[in-house]
Amino acid sequence: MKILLMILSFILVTTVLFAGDIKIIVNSKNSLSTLTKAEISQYFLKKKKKWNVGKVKPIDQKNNSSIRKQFSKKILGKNVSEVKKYWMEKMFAGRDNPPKIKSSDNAVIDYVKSHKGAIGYVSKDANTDGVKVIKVK
Amino acid sequence: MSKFLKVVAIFFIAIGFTLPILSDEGDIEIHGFGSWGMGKTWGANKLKQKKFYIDPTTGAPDPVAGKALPDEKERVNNYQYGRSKLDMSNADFALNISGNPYDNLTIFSQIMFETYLRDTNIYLDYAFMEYMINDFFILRAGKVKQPFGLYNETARVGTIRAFALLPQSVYGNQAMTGIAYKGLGVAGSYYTDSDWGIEYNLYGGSLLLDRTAEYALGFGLIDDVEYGELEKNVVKDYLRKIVGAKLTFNTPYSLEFGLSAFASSTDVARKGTEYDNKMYNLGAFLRFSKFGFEFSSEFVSSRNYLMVFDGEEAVGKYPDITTAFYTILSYRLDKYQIAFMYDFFNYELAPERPASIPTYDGTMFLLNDSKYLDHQDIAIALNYWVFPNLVFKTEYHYVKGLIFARPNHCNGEFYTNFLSNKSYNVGYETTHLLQFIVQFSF
Repeated sequence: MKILLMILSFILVTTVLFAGDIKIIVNSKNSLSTLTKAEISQYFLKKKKKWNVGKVKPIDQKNNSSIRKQFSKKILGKNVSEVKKYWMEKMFAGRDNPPKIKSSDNAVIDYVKSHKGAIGYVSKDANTDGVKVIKVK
Repeated sequence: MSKFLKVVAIFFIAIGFTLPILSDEGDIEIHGFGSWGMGKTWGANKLKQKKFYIDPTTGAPDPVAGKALPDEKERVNNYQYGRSKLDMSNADFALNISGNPYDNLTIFSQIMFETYLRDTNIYLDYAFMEYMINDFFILRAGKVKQPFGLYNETARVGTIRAFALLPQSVYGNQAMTGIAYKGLGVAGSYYTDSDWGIEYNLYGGSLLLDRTAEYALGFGLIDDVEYGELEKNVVKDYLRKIVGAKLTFNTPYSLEFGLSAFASSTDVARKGTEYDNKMYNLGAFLRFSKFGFEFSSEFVSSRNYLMVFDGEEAVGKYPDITTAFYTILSYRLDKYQIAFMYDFFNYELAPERPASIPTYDGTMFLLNDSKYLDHQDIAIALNYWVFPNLVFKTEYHYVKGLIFARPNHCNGEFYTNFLSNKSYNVGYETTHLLQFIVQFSF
């Protein structure tokens, strides 16, 4: 019974959604469980810089990785070049810096685990124990 | 050790001290951008100044006892990276450093290194702190790039646009926009869940801007222009008191549009007295970008109320009115891009204020009558993007007017003679430019 309750509570707080082959993850202390594509895009592009756990800390993957290309196209609605241009405009104007880049799913998960305001994306096969997977509306 | 090396050394020592301090609690970001370009101008844009004599003591024309002016050869205009003889000495580089010692506090800085016509300049482009209270209220203090129009804050960054340099009408040195303000500002944004958004900036302080040398001469900001200086065409000026605002509307359809404005007081010294002149600039901008297409357009109008003198007596303030407009259309397919630009500028001097610059024949040249105060640039660019951070650009510009295209190697007197198109000058107003530029960022 204990095990069943644990499984049920786990399902309640971590609803998994596959945006194609991508999982959106946040820190386990984050109370959010669902986000729209537009909201995820706003957090990654830092149009919204604060949320329920303080400052939003998006984390990106390598420019030439296939998961970044998928994420940019499906969630941000731009190709990687357009996203890079967007960030060049922001950072050289002294407005903001682009998200930090991690080189693998595991590195993204480690970052999200250790930063309360973090949000990242990983491939659907990644082991996401210790972080919360967000349902995309 | 040269001045250049000293500044570079001090800068990197400062970074060395700063990095460990900030790294303890926050993050450091280092980025940069740069460009190198060369170009050639040609066409019927030559000036033949006949041998001309002036009395060296009175400055009056005197063909018998006067001294011959040195300028007899043909002139070809300079424009952007182009010279009559191919010049490969134009390069710039910016180092951008920001630190985030606490979640709500960010420090932004950028230093520029540039060589132009064999001169090297190093300066602090901006350095300011930003304290975020929430998305809608962010406080900024320091030297901050002026938020105006689409590109003023990123005016030197070549990897975010199709043409190597921005349209001269809005972003040239006619004070339609400033460079950076020193003071306080607030900024913020609000986005709905469906991605409609509004961003605002309000600021006040002093404003650094570029002036043309003849403007600076005419209004006493500088005493004289060195021979050869005017081709650079730039004199730094400060507006001591300004307030400004920018409002941008963002849509979910890759369309943004908005308004920018600033108003200022300019204290211009004239005949030993300072006069408080007023300047009002208002601009509108629009950009659509989707599927490799980009369309951008801006309009800016400036009214510069300047004191008019009758002899020694100040008689009132009248406005010079300047108008700038451009439109750019580009299409990019993978690594290749083609772009077109039309750029327009008009300078209308107050009829009550005759230009005060004398010509060598002893008469006053009325700039008011000059068609040379107009500018039009029709251009095409073919670009190859190796990466989003590295682009090779080839451009052709057809330019009418001499307010941004400048005669090579001239001083103030030479230029006004050129503009006045007197009998001893044969001036043409057309410039052709072909230029090649490499631009990068990281």
